[in-house]
Amino acid sequence: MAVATDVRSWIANRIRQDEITRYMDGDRCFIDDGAIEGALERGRNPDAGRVREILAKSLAIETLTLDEASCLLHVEDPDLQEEMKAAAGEVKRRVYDNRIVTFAPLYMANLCVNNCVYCGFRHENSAERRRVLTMEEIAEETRILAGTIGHKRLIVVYGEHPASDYDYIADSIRTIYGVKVPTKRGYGAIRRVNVNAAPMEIAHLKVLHDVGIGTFQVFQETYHRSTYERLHPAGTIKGDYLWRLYSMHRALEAGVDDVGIGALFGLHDWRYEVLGLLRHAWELEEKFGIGPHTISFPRIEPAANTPYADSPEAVVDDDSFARLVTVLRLAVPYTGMILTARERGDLRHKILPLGCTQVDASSRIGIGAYADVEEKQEGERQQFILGDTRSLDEVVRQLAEDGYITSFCTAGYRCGRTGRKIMDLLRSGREGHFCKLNAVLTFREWLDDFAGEATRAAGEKIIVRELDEISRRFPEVYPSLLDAYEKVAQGARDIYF
Amino acid sequence: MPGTSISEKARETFSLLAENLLRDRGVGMELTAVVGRRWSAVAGPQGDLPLASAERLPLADGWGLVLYGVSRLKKTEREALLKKVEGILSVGPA
Ligand code: SF4
Repeated sequence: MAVATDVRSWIANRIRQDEITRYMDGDRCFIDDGAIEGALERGRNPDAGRVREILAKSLAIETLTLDEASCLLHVEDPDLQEEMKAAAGEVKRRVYDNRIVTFAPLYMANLCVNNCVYCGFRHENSAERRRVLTMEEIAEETRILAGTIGHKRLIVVYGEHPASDYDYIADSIRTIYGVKVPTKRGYGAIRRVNVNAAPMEIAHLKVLHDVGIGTFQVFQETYHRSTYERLHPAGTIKGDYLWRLYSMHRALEAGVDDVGIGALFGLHDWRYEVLGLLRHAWELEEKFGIGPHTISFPRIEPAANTPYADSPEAVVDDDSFARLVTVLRLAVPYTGMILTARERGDLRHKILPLGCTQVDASSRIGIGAYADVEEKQEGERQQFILGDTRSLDEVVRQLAEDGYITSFCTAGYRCGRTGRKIMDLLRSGREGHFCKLNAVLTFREWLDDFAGEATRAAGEKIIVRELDEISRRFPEVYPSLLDAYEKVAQGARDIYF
Repeated sequence: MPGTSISEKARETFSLLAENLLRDRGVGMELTAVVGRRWSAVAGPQGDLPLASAERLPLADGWGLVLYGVSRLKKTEREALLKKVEGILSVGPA
């Protein structure tokens, strides 16, 4: 497929070298291949006593070193692995309590100038049906997400193309925030829009910051440089490893103080990628005092007309997947961890207790797919194929049956609990207390506005249990929580702590 | 952030005021830069905020104040506090 001249000049002006080199130490980037390989080597055959010392450090909500994480990555003893899983679950409870946040992905456009070999949206994939949503179509998708399904939080996703550049992204976010839909007892609206888009220059990130984005996400895909360069052809924007690697530095400099990192598992050795993510978290903590707000760990999934995705070179089986999630939780204890519907429902059920904090539900990843009556997945308009297509109602019900409260809270970034501040609050466990109160209020809203009968019954039990626990653990705030709870039950919306 | 830069001295003065308010009255106070829906933390007390309902007060020039447990203050105390904050911010940017 030929690239038009105007698109070619857009591509040529995309990367700003000065916005890479300013963060580097001479010609050295923060991913030191030798240091990661060395840590992986030293971590082999860890001693059980040493492993338990490391678990104690995680439980004190301290970020692990590469060597410590490497030890955990090499634990083969099944009993010790079970201890690690239990510790990972405990870390999550200490930081975030028993709440799980839900969100939905909203894909805006599948035009892309890049040619990543594993991706259905890649430029050369002629089987893909290309489309960019209009603002009216975005509003329609939002009405369904916020008014019918009941989501409050989205991750909006864009390919890299002039048709979906930063100005389009900004307009689309404004459109989403402008939608308000009457519901049974109140109204539905999206309260937090997180963005997954291509790396941008600082001036463009400032534009997104100014429309009030939540988290800005860019996944490095693989931290292993030679693998990266093989899978992302030279001459494409994405082929520039360093431009991508410093995306979060630019976002933080632009004032977006919640950033999300991730790796696409299946491209290179999973242990290497875990240490790459950990090194990235350290780099952000050291340079900005702000670690990643979230870490994502998607596994590569099949995509239409994309042979690489059918047999990736470093397949991560379910067992290794559970191990990598466990170690990530222990290594970066304060961060949010996103388990997406790429994974099968039964597997998500097993992986969630290892410390995940966010899941998506009712997900559709075709362009314009929420407004379609047709419910089946269509490879030709999706980036990949989803493993879990359950509705939000079903997911919330299962969470409730498993003892979790679903939180629709988005208060943090609207109350200054962002960046460095939220890091401190997460480490001390205080944010988890705010989450607990806000989860009750937003869950009440959602049950009244959207829940089916069976889900409502399961949800009521959780609410009773949560209120009882709060009355005992936080008696000083319980009366004002009850007051707010009554108001929400009467139809008031968006009340928070 | 246009309009919301603050000198180191003003940041320190605000933080001290917030520390005292937290210690003496149990009220949390965070200075934030308001951009769209995002209220980003700029200055405030070290450590934890009190677990109490959050109230947001938009101020001039893109600033916002988030107060936790402000019902513990009388109306007059609250007004005096706001005056002090405005005084700190009026010193101007870095
Ligand atoms: S992974 Fe992203 S950049 Fe690469 S082809 Fe797909 S949409 Fe484009």
